[in-house]
Amino acid sequence: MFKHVLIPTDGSGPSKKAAKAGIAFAKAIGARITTYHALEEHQPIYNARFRKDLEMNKQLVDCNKETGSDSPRETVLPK
Amino acid sequence: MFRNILIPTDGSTVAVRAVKAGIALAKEMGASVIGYSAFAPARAKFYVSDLYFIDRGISATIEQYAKNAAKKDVARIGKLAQKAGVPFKLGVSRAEHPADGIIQIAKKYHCDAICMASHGHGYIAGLLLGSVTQKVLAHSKIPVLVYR
Repeated sequence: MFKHVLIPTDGSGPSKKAAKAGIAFAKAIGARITTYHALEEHQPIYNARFRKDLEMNKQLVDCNKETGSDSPRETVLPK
Repeated sequence: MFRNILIPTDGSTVAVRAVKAGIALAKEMGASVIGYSAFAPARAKFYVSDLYFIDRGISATIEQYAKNAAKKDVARIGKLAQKAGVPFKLGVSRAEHPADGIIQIAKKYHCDAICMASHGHGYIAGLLLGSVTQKVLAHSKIPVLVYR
């Protein structure tokens, strides 16, 4: 029914909880996921925030491993 | 992941679309569905007019009509679920606001998700979330899937 689930995150606790649920949900229905974190505009990408964003994406991938999901995933990196 | 999916309806066309989607989802996940519809209590404002008011018997009749309509709406969920081969339970209850009934029934039947339409009867189509959906989203402790 659903083939592609978007899982946006801001790296917070509740958002991580939602991400875990989203991944489990995608696994249950055999959907693929796209994780996303929006970056504020006019931020140079080499600042500390960017490193935090990369960290967050890593966290999501770890989250995926934790749930043992084999859903195909894709990560949208901030521009 | 989900075992019991609550599917509330008000019998409107958009609600029926959400019902179908909810049943399809339940089938895919091997979950069972709980069909639910709330009916409003017949309040004084319905039967007190300027010059006279109708006795309690009539207000009971009005409520009975509302209950029957709700039963008819959930029976439709039952039919669709049966056709799809999804296990189902049906319920109607009297509720001041449909959202209260939905939250209560979700607890009663240990539902782990609610699947409902974004709006039911006569709202500005598709633009806003219906008031019932909004209230459910605000008060629900379990995931709510708003079908669009």
